[in-house]
Amino acid sequence: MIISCKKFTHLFGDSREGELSGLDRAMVKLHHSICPMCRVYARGMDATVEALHDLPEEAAPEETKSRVLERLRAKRSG
Amino acid sequence: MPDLEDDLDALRAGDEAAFTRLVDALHRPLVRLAEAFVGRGPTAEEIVQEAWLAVVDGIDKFEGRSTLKTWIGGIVVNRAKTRRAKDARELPFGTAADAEEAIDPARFRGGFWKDPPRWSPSPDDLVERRLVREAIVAAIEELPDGQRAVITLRDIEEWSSEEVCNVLGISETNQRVLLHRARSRLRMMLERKLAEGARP
Repeated sequence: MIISCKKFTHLFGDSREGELSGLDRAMVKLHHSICPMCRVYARGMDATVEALHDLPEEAAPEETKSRVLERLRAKRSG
Repeated sequence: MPDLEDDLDALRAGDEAAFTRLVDALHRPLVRLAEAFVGRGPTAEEIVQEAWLAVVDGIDKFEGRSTLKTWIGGIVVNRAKTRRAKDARELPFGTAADAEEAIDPARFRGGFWKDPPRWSPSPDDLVERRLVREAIVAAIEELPDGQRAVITLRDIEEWSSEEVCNVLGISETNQRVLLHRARSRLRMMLERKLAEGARP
């Protein structure tokens, strides 16, 4: 059975997470193999998630860190 | 990212360097977490600031029954929920936009692509990878608050789905739906932004 492209885009997330049942997994795989447009959709999804993993960590504002350290010193001096 | 639990003894001993590392590692994701409940603006930042002071005061009592980030995340969420209740916002978490379809339904006809997806950047081209990274930072800001919190915690901060569900108090299924909608919506926004950037 061939699923629609819309259905593919809905199931693709769970497919990436390994959360699909055997039948749904087979349908996603079949659709991916025959639909070049959904392969483009999937390629963009993979690149997006990869780019998210590559984003650098953002440091906290200096003011926040200063307030935390002040509280820590106040606690220590009791 | 370093394992925060390795610093636990130093944190309990009041080590300043360990606290600085902790705040640097968790402040931004915690603000995103608070924003999922109270929206963007100074309130979310205030909630996290107050939560940090509670962490300093209460670290001695932290028994390690959860991870540090889920404990601190829980403090932020409790405070954010209280604030949200005061402001009488209707949904318990996120906004109505979190429930919308990630892909514009007009791009399909009868369930099949009418306006097919595009994706030009090559995964091997370093310049194009940089362009995607730059576009993604702007696109994340356009996501609905709930989706933005989930994708930040899962994909940028690499928290486990269990940690995200525990902190946000949502089911595994709900978390997966929000994560997929966020990724899909971002992917479609990037498609548009990258096409605009490539236009002469």
